[in-house]
Amino acid sequence: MILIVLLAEVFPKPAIIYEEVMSVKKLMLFVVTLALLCSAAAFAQDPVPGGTFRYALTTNPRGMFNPILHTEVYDSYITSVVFDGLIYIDEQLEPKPKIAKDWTISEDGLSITFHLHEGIKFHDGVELTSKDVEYTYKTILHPEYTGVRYGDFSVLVGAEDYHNGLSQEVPGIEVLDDYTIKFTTSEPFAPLLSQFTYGILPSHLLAHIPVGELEQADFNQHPIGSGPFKFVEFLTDQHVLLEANEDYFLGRPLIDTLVFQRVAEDALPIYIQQGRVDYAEISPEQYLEVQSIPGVDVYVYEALSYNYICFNMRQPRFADPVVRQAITYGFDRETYVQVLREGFGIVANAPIPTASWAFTTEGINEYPYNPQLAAQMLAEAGWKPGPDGILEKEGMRLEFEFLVPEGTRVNEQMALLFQQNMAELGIKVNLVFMEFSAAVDRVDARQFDTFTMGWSLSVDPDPYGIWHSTSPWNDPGFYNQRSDELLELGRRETDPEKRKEIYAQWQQLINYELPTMFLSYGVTIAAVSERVQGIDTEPGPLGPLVSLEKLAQIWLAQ
Amino acid sequence: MWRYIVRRIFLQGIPVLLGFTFVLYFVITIAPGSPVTHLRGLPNIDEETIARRAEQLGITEPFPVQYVKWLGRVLRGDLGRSFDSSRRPVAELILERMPATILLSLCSILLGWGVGIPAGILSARRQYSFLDYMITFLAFVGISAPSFFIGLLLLYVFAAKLNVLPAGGFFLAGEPRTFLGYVQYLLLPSLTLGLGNIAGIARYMRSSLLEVLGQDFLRTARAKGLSDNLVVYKHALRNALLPILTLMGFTIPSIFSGAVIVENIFAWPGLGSLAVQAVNERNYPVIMGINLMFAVLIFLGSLIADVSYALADPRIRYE
Amino acid sequence: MGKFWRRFCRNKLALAGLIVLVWFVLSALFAPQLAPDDPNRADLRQRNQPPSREHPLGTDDMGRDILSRTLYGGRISLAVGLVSAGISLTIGVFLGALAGFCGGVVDTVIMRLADVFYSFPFLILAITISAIFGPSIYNTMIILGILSWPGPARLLRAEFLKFKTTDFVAAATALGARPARIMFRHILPNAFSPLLVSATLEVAAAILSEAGLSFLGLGVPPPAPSWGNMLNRARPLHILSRMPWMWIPPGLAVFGVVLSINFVGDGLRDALDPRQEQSSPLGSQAAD
Repeated sequence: MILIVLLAEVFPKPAIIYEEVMSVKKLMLFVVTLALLCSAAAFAQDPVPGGTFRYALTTNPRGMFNPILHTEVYDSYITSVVFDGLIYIDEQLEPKPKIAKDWTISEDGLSITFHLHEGIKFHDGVELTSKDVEYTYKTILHPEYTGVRYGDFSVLVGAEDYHNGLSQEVPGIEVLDDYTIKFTTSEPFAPLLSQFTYGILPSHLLAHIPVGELEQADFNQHPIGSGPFKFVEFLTDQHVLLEANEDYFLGRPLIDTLVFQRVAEDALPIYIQQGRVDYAEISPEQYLEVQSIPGVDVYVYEALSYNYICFNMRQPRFADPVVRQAITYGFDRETYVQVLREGFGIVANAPIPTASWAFTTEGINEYPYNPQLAAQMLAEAGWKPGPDGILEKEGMRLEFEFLVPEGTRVNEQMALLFQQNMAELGIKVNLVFMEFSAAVDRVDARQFDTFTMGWSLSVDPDPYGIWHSTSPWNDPGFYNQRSDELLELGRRETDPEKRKEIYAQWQQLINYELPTMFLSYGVTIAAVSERVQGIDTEPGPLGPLVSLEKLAQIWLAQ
Repeated sequence: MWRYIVRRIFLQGIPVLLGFTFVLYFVITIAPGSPVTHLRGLPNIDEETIARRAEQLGITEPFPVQYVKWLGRVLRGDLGRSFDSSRRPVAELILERMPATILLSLCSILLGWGVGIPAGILSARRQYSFLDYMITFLAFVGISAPSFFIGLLLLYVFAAKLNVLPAGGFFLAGEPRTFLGYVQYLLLPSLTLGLGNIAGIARYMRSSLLEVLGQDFLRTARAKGLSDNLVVYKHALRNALLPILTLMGFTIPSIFSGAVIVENIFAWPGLGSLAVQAVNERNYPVIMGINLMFAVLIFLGSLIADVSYALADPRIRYE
Repeated sequence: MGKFWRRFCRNKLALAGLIVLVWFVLSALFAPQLAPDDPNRADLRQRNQPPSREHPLGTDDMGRDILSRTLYGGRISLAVGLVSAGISLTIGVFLGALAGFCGGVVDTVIMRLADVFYSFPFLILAITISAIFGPSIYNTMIILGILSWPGPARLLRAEFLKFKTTDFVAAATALGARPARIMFRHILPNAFSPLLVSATLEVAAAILSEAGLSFLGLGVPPPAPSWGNMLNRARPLHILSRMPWMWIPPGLAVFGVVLSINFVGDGLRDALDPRQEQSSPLGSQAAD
């Protein structure tokens, strides 16, 4: 309404009467239109409760809806809405309060004390207290625990002894009162805080079950948590149905029903077009088609993942960094990203993706596609073409196997492109396509020359788990003292600025050494129905729904 | 008769099932890759956890020990628990998907009989007519066309272009399960799966009926003045239908087998996808459970086919 | 021989099938001469092109010529079909003859073995074996061959049993002929015709199975072209609806070959013995 007044001021008083009449008419038209627009805008701003939100899944969840026992991503979707954790990670990748209304970190950086909200209830009405938090985390450390989360919390004081059955208590987990709990580590561990996202389990329902048998409990198929949605039913390969938690401590979610709908990947565009699903992650090939569907918005955002080609550095021919660098210069990764991935990717040169705060371009060599340079580097290093045209040096040959786990068309295309590019340098690449499990076997047994796979990363950028030389995932066989030192330092450094600097140095080192050739950082495409309101329209690495956090706040326009 | 059935079960069925399960278990344990390989990709996973898991699942023991343990459990009625993270009882996993696969198989079998038999009869009665040639030609088409090609074609025409039928899947959550809805979701997949069935039965019916129609006893019946219809429908059909029953013995395995591809194309929530997934993940108990169930069903199917053949044809006596 | 040929030709469908089949076989044999391009030459600038003068059937998502790939794919499909049918016939004839000839315990054991193989849910076993040995052309041939032997075996055994009880054999034995001689000189030739028919159907089934396996990603692995794996690439709906040149040629090819084999097989059956009973109207096990 203020606008109208202002406009009236702006509109000059016309001199001629006819024009005055005309301009008055125009003004009226303008006013009316504006009024309509304003009311429409006001209308759209009022959240409308109710409705069913359908999230498309292309893989069936397993039915292990227990936050500390599941291993599959799709199960975690369900646990993240049925359960709440002490904290959650927001779109800036920062930890934010959830069940814990705030926390304090001790001066020496070794303890975190969480203060919980009071009055949070589980779906069966029982109040959530620090006893439940203690139960959840102690179970992870238990000697008979059958899940895979132990490594996240093994740094807690007394965890190892408890885990190995040498002690009955964990001094590192201290319940101070019903709403206060304190965690202590033996040495500074920077990633610790970001790991407290696990859903809190109801100890009153589970404590009586022996930990070793927890995975067989019926609870896992009928979970009861304290989260914004209550579990209703799970029909295998069809859907998971959830309903809003009326008594949710942050306020009832606006939507009534939440459905995770199983949809065949190939049928996704049709389902989106028919409005049968409101949210779906689609592949680059489906982008064009889905983009043109009216009533659907498509969001593209950088993800915390990357894929790579790994060299077996235990083989003498790959031991020389020059060879690895030359091969990297000789592979047209730009075409791989722009053409094969249809532009949905970012050429990577270090193992920390752009989406992470630890990402850096300082001192990072981009290795732009340059086959002449590659050939030159190899020649200068003493590689000469043998009688069959393949590069040789001192009894070593540059003919090797490239293991490609099956699954995606893009991988197949990438392998072919790699083979072609290498052929131009006099390097013969023999493609071996194998089933994923079989390929992993070969990799674990270190019976490979090169292979390609990818890593999905957690929110905290700590690369220790994958890159430390003692890690079982040290597939390339990368043993570098400086790298190990930097990784150990980075883990312990709690000052974010200093930590960033350490990781920058480490990335420069890896970028030079190239134990693996980095291909592309992940880019995710999400198709969302226009009727969904309240999402993050400029999504960060966790997407428009911020890892499903937003589900408790979105609403559906009618 | 009962003696025959008992003998079939003990002398044929049980040894076959034992041999089959033994070979199968062997084959899946020697496959590279193990049930715990997928744990690798998880953040902060350590070797100790994976080793523990392997032990919990019992896969560190030698193959014969594993097989005997599995067999022992099965004989007590326990199919074991899945190796994936859900650790749910295998029987539960199979039972929750069975209805969907049975529904699909049943529909395609019904289509086969419902369309195939009349088509075959029609074809035989008007032998060498244009209709006969058309039906015969279509029957050949039916058994020659690859089911996945037909499936894709049907999806393309009816779901993508014409938009009259759903592009696979089953009812959405909350969608009312009406009879019409069932038809819509079942139509394309059962057509794809049943096409070969329809074609095969039509052809078989035709030749079987022709054979019977040419026989002497029918000529006598006609000579006696019985109307053509009566001749055909009363006498010939009964005789011609007999071989169709044995056909069931062949049909059932191919239906279950073919269901895997069709379920894959149409995202049908049946056993097929569970089976494929189980193999990819080396989920031994599930693989064994599903295959055992199929083997039993196939065995029962052929047994029922043979028995009903004997019941229908008084000339056959099993000792 | 002439009588047989005349009888065969009377069946118009069979004749048409034969012509089409010969055409397929020739185009597969002469693929290198007929193909306009190298089937594996990927030209990324020419991806997803519709049919044109340069690429009569268009290009696929790697820029490879589809006509060439279809022709070469024919070689693979026909090779797999013939080799696996050959394997299954060899094993089947040998074991079937053994069972029929020896009878008794040998017969029972072999038939039980046949039942064991028969109860294997074909596809699931194929997937499992493919996972062990890795997907490849040769493994596909072997798997298909080994799983299909019960069909021919049962056939041959039935022939043996038929003849064993006739006076024919009794007379020959009385005349002093040795059993092996009887087997080879008298029984096998008579078994030839149903075996031939069965063989043609085996080839058709094998071609279909190979296409099915490759379609699932378990048969012939990329980049080698096979009709099945070409169809696999066309599964996403946007390719299915917008780029039909990618899947219609291989689809029609499989269809055409199998159809003509079936026509020919049917014609053979009728020509060889018009009163012959059909042993198995659907042919052998097929991953259909």
